Amino acid sequence: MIPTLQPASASMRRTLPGGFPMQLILGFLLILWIVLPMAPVFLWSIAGQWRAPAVLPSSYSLQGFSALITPDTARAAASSLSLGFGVAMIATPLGYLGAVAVRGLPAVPGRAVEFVLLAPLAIPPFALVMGSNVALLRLYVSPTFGVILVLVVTALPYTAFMFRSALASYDQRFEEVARSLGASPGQAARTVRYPLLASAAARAFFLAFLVGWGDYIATLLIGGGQLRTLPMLLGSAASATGNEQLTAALSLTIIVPPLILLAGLTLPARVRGRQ
Amino acid sequence: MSSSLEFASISRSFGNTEVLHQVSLTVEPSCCVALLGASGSGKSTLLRIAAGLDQSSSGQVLVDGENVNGVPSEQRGIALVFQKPLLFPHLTVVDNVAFSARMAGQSRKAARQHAMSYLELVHLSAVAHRSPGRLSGGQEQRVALARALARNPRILLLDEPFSSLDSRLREDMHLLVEDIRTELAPTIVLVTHDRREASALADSIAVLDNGRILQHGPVAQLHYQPATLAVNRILGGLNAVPGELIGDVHHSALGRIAVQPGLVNGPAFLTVRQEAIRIVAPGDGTATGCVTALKSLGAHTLVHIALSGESGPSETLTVEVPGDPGVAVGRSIGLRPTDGCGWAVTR
Amino acid sequence: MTSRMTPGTGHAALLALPAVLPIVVVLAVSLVAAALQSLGLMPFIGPPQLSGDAWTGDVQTLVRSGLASVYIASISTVLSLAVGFVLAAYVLTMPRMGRLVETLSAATIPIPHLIGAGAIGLLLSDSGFLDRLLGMPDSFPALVAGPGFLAVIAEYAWKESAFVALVVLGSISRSVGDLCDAAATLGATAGQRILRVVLPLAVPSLAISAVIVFVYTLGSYEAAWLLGPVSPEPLPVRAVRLFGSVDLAARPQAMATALVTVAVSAVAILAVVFLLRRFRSLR
Repeated sequence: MIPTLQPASASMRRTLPGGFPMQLILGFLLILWIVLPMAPVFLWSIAGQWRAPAVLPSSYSLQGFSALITPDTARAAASSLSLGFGVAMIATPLGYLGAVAVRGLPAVPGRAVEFVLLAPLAIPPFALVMGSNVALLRLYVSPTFGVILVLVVTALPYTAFMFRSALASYDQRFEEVARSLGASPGQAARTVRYPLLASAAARAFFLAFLVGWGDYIATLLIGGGQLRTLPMLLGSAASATGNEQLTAALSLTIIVPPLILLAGLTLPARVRGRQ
Repeated sequence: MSSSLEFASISRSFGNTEVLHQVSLTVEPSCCVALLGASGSGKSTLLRIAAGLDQSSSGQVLVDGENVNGVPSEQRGIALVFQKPLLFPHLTVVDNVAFSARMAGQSRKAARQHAMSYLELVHLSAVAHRSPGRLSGGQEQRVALARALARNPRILLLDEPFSSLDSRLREDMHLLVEDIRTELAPTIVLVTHDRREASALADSIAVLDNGRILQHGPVAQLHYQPATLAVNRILGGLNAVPGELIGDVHHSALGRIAVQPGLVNGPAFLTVRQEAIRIVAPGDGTATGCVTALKSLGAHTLVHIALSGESGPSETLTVEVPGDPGVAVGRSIGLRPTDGCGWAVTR
Repeated sequence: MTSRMTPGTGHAALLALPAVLPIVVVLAVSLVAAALQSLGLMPFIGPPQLSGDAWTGDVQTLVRSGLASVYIASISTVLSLAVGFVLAAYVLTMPRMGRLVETLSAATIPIPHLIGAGAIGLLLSDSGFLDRLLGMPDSFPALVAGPGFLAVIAEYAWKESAFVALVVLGSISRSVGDLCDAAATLGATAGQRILRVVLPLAVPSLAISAVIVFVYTLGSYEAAWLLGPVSPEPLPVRAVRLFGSVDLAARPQAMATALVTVAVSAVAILAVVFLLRRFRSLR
């Protein structure tokens, strides 16, 4: 998901119109655009009292976070984690298989498979969930399994796409070189193909994890209240008024784990890229 | 309309590494100078500085005597053909060539008309409306050349533009550059690591090594009168015979050979090109030796010879002979330089 | 599977199954079930009975919902593309500040829309953070739950512009530097390099992200639900409300609404595919 950038070439550096002050102002505006929406979330999460005209909270406290330390939240966090990992662990290998198949098939069936793999992007998740709900109920599929199934389908376009683009730049001849140097097929796959595709796999896993971790609508409609995840708690907190501290603290709790995962996925590559 | 280009003590450092050190070089209007050097010698950096794509750490670039430091590249009127063709993938061939005219505010029609004449110059008007993705490597590079020329540049910079082409295509391109020189007479700076290409295209060659210009002069001078051993090696000279210089005469295993005047007495190397020595019968030459190896270059053969020195370890010498050398390994032979006057260097 | 990267055709078809099968089953089952339910043929309880009431009963509200959704999705897409392209261009051209902008915008990618919606709510609501920063002027517009869905659009534009920037960067960052160098030596000024080189290079990735953003925002529930006005209801909000209604007769209407959303998405995708084809054949 996160491209590693080439350093800007000399003429690129002068490619933005306007002088240095203009560029600085534009950069400031862009950073403001990205950061501003999260600012009240940070402030509310540590606010004690924050009445209307005050720009900053009049007192600070961790009441929002301490309100989160309940068995209920812990159970919801566990559900969210298992939903995220469950979706990722199924959708990542399936996406890989799909991508390899597209590469191996002749043009017409290959494009058909590719079309199917991308099709879930075209269907709004809520429509997918609503339609399948009755069918899942009639087939006595448990809500948890139903949610995972629908979310895997939602995540597959992302994982398949990640592997598609990685395979597009992956040269089959790497493995042929390994074979010519005496590696068995299994060894060639283990020592050449998997390491070269590892970063794509990590990105695919991360995206699929996000689909499960952050899902609201599928859990709401299929889970029918039985499956309580962190976004479900957030949904009920955010739709009521006067819950700002709790909403903000819960929001941060949901954002932080994926951000740590993202940093863990991208930083090593960056450091290696620099060396 | 061509201009002179002058580099005045250009230095460029990236962090702690100095890529260019006090480089000074003058290119007269309508002349073609080749910058010859190995990869990493800083020659591409020098071109990028001339084009305004990179800043020098110190020194000046002068065009027609005018300092152009700080002038952005789009206003310099200096065109650069890169090693990769870098054709814009979203434009057709003719629109690529018409790019500079469009940038200058001309109408699409006028720009295309202008571009067509340059496509004719490189014999590619037939593919004008193709997308650049459907051209061969040689065609792409021709379009890149046409695109640069269509700008009517005061100076044309060529950064190893033919290095990725096969030898036949490269020769076609050399002919094309000659045509362009006769027809448009632009000032050209050509960067290359190929001494043959440098010799074939340029009026003079500047040898760049480790960010310094070692020598700049006419093609023949660099081959036969190199300033240093490094220049001799870079120009493909295989021989540097150590010896002693006494009164403008070089004493070595090759015999006593008069060299250029003005050098200080002491140890010196005789640089004699492998093409400028003849194999003769033993006793007929100025020196004798024994053939140690033969190496075929196709139509030519390299003969490696151990010189029979008066004392100490014997020196080896290489001679390039057209056709069959007529000698076998182990034979004793005589050697005679074809040129009466030799050339010595001290470092 | 470990033996070769490019398996034989039959082998490849087998490999595709585990991915293709769940998608086909879930998509087919949900679309067919939605269609049947919308026609009364698959009731929650009671005997099936064919009826077009869900489609014809309240056409006016359905159309208003559709228009509201298309309006939100269109404006959000246009804004996301514009801001996303500026973000990408900035990252490409400014070495240090660009790196910071890139990292920050990449960090917003994992934020779920539900949280984005909550954050925008805290920022833009009446007496929210922005209102307070501006000194609580009387003229502060009703962005949240007000007419025009401005807060909803702001949330989508905020989240999706970072996405657009990443897609554009991923597709052009490799080639754009050298091409800009070439353009500069051919006399293109800074502004011309952006408009005549960087922008056209980005067009294919912009078109693809436009479809993704449009379809996503058309069918997204959270922001429209939290930040939108009570009326008109965008399609997803209407569908979810009807779906959860105690009145079981509302189910077919919910399904009809969902199917309308699917249809609008399909039309949008086909339109862009058609336009891209035209664009390519023109060249």
